[in-house]
Amino acid sequence: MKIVIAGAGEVGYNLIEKLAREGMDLSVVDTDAKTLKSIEKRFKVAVDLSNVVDSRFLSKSHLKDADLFLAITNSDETNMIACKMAKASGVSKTVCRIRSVHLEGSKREESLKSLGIDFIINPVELVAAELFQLVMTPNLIDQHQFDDGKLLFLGYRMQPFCSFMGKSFGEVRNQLERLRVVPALLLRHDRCFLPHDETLVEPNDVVYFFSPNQAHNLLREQMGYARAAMRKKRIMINGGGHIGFRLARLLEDTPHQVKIIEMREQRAQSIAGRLRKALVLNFDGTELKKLVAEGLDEMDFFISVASKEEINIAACLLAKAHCDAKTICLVKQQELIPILQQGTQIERAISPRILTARHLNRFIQGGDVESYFSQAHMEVFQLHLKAGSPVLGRSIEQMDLGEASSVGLIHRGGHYVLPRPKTILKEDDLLFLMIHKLDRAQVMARFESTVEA
Amino acid sequence: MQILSILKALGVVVLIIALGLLVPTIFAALTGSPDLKAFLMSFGLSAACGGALLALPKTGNPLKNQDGFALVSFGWLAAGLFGALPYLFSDAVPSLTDAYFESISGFTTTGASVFTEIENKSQPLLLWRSMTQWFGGMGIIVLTIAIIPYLDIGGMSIFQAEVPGPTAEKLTPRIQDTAKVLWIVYLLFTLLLVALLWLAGMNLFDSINHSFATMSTGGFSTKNASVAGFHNPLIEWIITLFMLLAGVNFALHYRFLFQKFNPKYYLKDSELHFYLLVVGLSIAAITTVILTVQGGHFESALRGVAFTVVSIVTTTGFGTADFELWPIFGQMLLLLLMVMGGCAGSTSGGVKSVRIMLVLKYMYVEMLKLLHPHLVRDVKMQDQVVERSVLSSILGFLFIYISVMVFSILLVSFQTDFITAISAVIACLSNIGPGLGSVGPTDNFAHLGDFTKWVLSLNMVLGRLEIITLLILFLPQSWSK
Repeated sequence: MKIVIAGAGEVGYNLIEKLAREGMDLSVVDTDAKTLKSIEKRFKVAVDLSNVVDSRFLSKSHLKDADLFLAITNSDETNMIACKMAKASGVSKTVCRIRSVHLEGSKREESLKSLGIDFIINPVELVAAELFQLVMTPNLIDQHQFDDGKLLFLGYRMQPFCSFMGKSFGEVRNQLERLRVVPALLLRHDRCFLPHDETLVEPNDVVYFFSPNQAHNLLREQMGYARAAMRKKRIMINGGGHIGFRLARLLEDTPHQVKIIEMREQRAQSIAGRLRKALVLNFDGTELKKLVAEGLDEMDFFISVASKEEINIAACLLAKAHCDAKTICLVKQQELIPILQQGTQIERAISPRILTARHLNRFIQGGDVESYFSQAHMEVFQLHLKAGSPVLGRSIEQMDLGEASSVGLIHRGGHYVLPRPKTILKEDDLLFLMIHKLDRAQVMARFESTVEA
Repeated sequence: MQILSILKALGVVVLIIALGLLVPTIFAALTGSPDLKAFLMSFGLSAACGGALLALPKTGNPLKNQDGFALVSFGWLAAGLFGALPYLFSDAVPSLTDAYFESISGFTTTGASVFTEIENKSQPLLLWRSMTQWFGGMGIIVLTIAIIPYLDIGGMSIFQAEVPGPTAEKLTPRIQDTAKVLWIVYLLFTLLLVALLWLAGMNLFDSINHSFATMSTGGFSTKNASVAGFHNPLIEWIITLFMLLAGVNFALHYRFLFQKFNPKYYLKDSELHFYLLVVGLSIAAITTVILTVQGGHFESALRGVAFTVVSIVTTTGFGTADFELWPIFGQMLLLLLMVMGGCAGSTSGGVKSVRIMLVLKYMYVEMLKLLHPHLVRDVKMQDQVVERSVLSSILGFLFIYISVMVFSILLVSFQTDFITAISAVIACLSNIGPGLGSVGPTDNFAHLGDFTKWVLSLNMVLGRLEIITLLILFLPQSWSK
């Protein structure tokens, strides 16, 4: 797969590192000679010192047959123009990183098309959506969409009050069968694996489910989480920047009570004018006395999303020391995440870079694989069986996927079908596969080997 | 201040009044009314004065802000003067004080009358009386701007000085066009009302007069007993509805009528919600109190209360029920509604719903700030931040309104009793008409002293121009060169 990356900034660097390790055919375009030189030295990539918003860039040979163009410079406008130019010179898929330009509403698809953008990636939106998810469904710790959003892959933490507690996976599987919901993966003590039918659900397990979109609410009811999510919660957000504002905006249509703390007076004025319900407070979010005066001890959530990670960490530690609120901390360096989550009492740390990189992954898997998700050693693929695939007409049993891999769900003729050992694979099936990383090449080979030949 | 330019522009205003006078003159000629001579004289005199003023030499300098305020103020005072001529010449009202009072009461859409007997007056005179209200409803200067585009007085400040409310809306890029569309909407509603009243059983003359008085929220009737004189519930409901409509911002009506009848402008306007809520709650409260205290038939009580509450809150002042017979609670509530008035940009008077609503919101935000010392919050209307300067001007306006009210009550108290003094001043300052006490819905203003009448006349102009426009002329800076 041939990928062109415009912009070797922070996000770009992480991505290049990852993609280069996976052996992709990479070209990196940037205007900074120094960065490019260091990238060229470290990774096996082609570098191009040029300006993407330059008509000469159009004639560059590496654009002609590229499969994917990622515009991830720090400037929204540059990215948009770069996408437009790349599309014009024959790139098949473009991804544009946009932070502050708003492309929403009914004309979204049209305006994207006119700009030559196939997908948008917006770190602010990703983080805000992730935080919103954490608040709205606190036990849902991970989520991924397959099949254009029709199938959800949901990771739920098993709380002691969950109705699955103490049951075996066989029982859970039977209970959820009529909803077309499948318990797929189990994450226990940082180990991710396919659960056996006899395995019992234990506290603090994270169970991943395949769930059709419309069955999600029923699944939550089955677990006994629906009622807990309905309760009105008090949320304090430290930092009224783009992320804090976007999160408060999302929360305005919920019954939850939001207080948002912003240190800069002007910014506070500006967001106060645009929010309807949330209380906007103007003080330093690390001043304990003021936090307590504003009812810190009654909060259900304390979310710190200021622009500096040291402020976020300090605020979260202070809050944790004085209340029982669930604290969520925004950090830049992804290395801090495990340290904060394990070494301190802060419940969650999230990093825009990780979310962005994870999101970008969706566009990178090539071939028949249409969507992709990974957790620890396990990977989940969405695979479209086309005519001529060697597995057509064979049953799942015969495929011999091995101990650590399996077919989770099949989408056939508009319905989701639970796979049985005897199920015969047909043309046009969508397979949702769970594969151990080490077996990946071996398993994928079964599906693809003869397609091209 | 450029006196010459102002006088020249005033000439146009006076000519428009003369043009208006032509209508009852023709009507008098056609019906062979004995007042024909009086109207011919009034028309001749105002046309001559207007012509003379217009003939003044051109100065070439455009009007400045201060000139605009002066023009609007003097325009209204002059309109009152020339409008009073038919009353004087026809001997219907012998004294200048009374004639001016009646005339300015018409132009300011107050509807306070010195006529003890209405039905014995000639028809052309009654038509002129209603016409003054209709002209005054949408504004004489706005009319001038609308029909005489060549007159270079189309500044926003002039428009702002006459259109009621904290901020005047420009509906179209050009101020002349805005004035024009407002008058077109006004005309359409009036024609519709004429047709409905005629169908409901009024004769054409009465329906025209009542339509003029309703759409302008004036309140002059052709009957001694006002609308009650028709003994027709349907007519009362129709007038109630149109009074309510006249109390709504005409910008909303314009958008509804000229933008594909899309009701979204009505649905999302928060001032309209507030206005309708106040009207609805007041009707419900007074009806309940009347039915429990005095008893009676539900439909007729509701109809009477709905008519009166709408008539008072829109500052029309038509009467069907003698509200002085109501429990005191009802009367006091009416007094409060008199102060509030309808929506900004409507033809009604009072301090306007939007100002009351914003002050209430402001108080809420201030209290919230006491609870949360670091809170950052602005007063918002329809999700838009209301600027602090607008808020402080509203607070200032309310203070001046109350000051003028109190001071006028003081002046009027020389010649009247307590409740009459208070209610007469409020009724005139808010451009309503009937008050309580000896100026109640079944009484009139004829018996008041001359001094009181002049104070009340001034109150009417102050109220119609929302005080500041007129008061600004008392600043020495306005007169400096």
